[in-house]
Amino acid sequence: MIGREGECRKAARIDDRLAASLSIEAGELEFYKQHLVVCDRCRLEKRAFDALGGDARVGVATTLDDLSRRRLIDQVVQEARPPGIVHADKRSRPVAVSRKWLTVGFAVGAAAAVYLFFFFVPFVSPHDETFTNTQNAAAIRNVDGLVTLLSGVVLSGDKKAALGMNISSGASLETRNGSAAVHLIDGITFVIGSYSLVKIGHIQNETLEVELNKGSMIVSVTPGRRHPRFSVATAAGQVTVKGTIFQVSIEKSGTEVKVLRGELELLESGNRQSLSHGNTAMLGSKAQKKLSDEEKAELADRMRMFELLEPNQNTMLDLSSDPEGADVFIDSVGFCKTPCSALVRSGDREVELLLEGESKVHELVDMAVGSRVSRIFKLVSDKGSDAAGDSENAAAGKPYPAAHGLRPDQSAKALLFGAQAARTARDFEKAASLYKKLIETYPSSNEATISLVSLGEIKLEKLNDPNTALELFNRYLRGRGKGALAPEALFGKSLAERALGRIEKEQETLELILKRFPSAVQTAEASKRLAEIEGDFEHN
Amino acid sequence: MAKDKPQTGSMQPERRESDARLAYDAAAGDESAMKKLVDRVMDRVRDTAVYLMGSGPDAEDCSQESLIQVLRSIGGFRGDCALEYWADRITVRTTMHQVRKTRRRERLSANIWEAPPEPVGFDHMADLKRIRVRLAGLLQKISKERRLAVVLHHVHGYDVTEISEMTDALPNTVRDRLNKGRKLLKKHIADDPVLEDWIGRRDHDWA
Repeated sequence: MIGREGECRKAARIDDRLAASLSIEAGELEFYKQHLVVCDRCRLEKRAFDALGGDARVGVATTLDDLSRRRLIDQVVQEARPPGIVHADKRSRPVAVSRKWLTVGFAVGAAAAVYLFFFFVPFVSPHDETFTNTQNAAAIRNVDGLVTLLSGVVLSGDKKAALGMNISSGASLETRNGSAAVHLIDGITFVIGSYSLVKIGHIQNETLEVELNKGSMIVSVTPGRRHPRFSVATAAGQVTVKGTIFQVSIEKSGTEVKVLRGELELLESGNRQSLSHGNTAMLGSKAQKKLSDEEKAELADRMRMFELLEPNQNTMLDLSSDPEGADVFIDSVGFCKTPCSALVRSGDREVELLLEGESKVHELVDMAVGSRVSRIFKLVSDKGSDAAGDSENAAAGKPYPAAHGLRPDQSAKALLFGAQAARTARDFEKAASLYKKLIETYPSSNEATISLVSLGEIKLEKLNDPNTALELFNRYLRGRGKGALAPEALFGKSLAERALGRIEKEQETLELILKRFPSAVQTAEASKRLAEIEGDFEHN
Repeated sequence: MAKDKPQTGSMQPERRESDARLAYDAAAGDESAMKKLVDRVMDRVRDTAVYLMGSGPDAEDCSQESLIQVLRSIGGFRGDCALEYWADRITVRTTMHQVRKTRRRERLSANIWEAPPEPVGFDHMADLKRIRVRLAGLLQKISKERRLAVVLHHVHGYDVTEISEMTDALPNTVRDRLNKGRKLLKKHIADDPVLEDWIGRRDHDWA
C-alpha cells in the first residue's frame, strides 16, 4: 500500500459521501482522484464496487441457454396462473371458474368421495394399493399433452395420430417407419423413434410414469422443483429423472440409457444406481461408460430440436417429398423423414431436404404465428439408397435421420455455432476441430476469419500448441491488421511468442499493442508484461 | 454505479403506455404478455436473488418465486414507475422473506459459496462475471439489511430515498446501512487475494 492511513480514511469518507449522494467540494474530489492513483488498496475497492454495477449484459446468476430460458419462462407463467382457471383444451381460451362454483364443486366432490370410499372399501382386495391406500388414490392425476411432430406412420391406439391432437394419461403412441414428438403440459417433452411403442401413465405420488415397450425415446424434462418426477418404465427396469435430457433405447442386447444433461436414477430388480450427464449404461449392468463425441452431438442436436418445437403458437409446417423418406433439417437440425408435420416456433426457418445420392433441396420459409405452411418437394433418388437407409435406421431404432454430426454442406454459421457451443461446454478438442473445419471449408467467410483468433486462443491456452496458435494469429493479422479482433490477436501472438521463448519478438508485439490500440482492454496487461521484460533485461 | 437504473418517477408517455398495456394484458391472463413480462425482468430478478442469497439452489428457487409473485401482483401495477422498479420491489420483498427463513442455515454456511470457474483470459465479460460471482460470495458475509442496501445501490443504482421506499426504512437508517455495509464489504475485498488478482489483471474501468 502506497497511501498513508489518514489519507485512506479521508478518501473513504469522500467515497461514502459520493455513494450516499451527498455533496462534496471540488478540492475533495480532486484529492480523491489523486489518492486512487497512488493507493492500490483504495483503487482495488473502488474497482470492485464499480464491477458490481455497470455492464448490465453480464449477470451474476448462472447463464441460461435459450432453451432453458424459455422453459423457465413457461414454468413461471404456468405456476403463476391464478387458481380457478381451467384449460379445457390447449388451444381454447382459458375458462374462468368462479370461487363460488369451485367451493360448491369441492363440497359435492368431497361428499361423493366419502360415500364411494365407504361403499367400495369392503370389496377391494387388500393387494390393490390404488384403493386400499386413500392417500395414493387421491394423489393420482391425469397429465395432458399435445403431439407436436409427426413423421411417417404414427398410431394413437388403433387410429392414425394427427398433429396437434391431445394426448392424455392412458393414451399410447406407436410409430412405424417414422417418429413423433409429444409436449406434455407439465413441461416434459419427448421424441419417440421409429418402431417404438409408448404408453403415457398418470401422475402418482408426484411421479409421472411413461412405459416404453419397444424402440427408443429421447426425453427433455424441465428442471424445476414443482414438476412431478418423470419415470420411463421398460421391461428391463425403470429410469427416474427430475430435470435432464436423456435417451432410452430398447436394443437386442438390452435397454441402453444415455444422459446429456442432469442426472438419472436407474432402478432394476430393486437395485438403484445413478447415471450422470455425459455417461451411458445398460439397464441391469453396473458398468457405465462415457458418451462418444458422436453420441453427444446426436443428443445435442435433439436438444436443439426441442427448442424448435413450440406447441403454443399454432404454427404448422407440413413437408412432403416425392419420393418419400428424405431427411428433413430445419435450421440445420435433423428433424424427421418426409412426410413430416410439426408445430414449429415462428420466424424464418431454413428448411433442407436431403436424400442420399441427390442434391439437397433448400428453402427459407417464413412461419408466422398461427399459420400453416405446406411444401411438396420433387426429388430424384438413386435406386435403393433411400430404402437401405430406412431399414438401417429402423433396425437401429433411431428417432431421427441417420446420425449426422457434421454434414458436408453444413453452413459456416452452423459450424461457428457448434464450435462456440463446444467451447462453452469446455470441450476444447471438439471446438478446435469445428473451428478448423470452418476455416478449411469456408476460408474467405467472415466466420472463418473470426475463427482464426478463437482457434488460436484454444490452441494456445487449452491445447498447449503455441506454434499453431502463432501461425493462426499471424494469419488473422495479415488479413485484418486493423480488424475488431486485432488487439486480441496481437495479445495472443505475444503470449504465443512468450511460450516459445521468443522474448524479443514478444516485446515488439507488446509495443505494437500499446502503439496501435492504446485504449484496448489488453493494454494494461501488455504494459505490465513489458515492464517485467524491461526489468528482467536491466537485472541481467 | 449501475447504468440500467429503472425509472421510478416521471416516464416518457410512450414508455408508460407500453408498460401499462403489457401489465394489463398480463393481468388479464394473456400468455404471450406474461411471457414477455417475465422475459423482460428475469435477468435482474435472478441477479438480485444471487446477490442477496449467494449462488445456489436457494437463490434459483427464490428468483422463480419472485417471478411468480411479479406475475400474480401485476394487476396492482399502476404504471407510475418502470416495470423493472416494480419487479425489484417485489423481488426484494420475496427474497428478504426467504433470507429471514433461511437465516439459521445461513449462519452455518456463511463462508461457503460456489467457487467461480478458473480464469481463462481474453474474455472481458467472463472476467467481469467471475468478479461479480466472487463479490456475491463476499456479500453473504455481511448482514442482510446492509447487503440489501449495498445491492440496491451499487447493482441497481437506486438512491437512498428510493431504497428507503422499497424497504420501508427511514432514509437515515438506509444511509447508515449503506455506509456500514460498504465498509465491511471493502474490508472483505481487501482481504481477498483472489479478487485482488483478478481485478489487478485488468487495469481498466469495468463500468
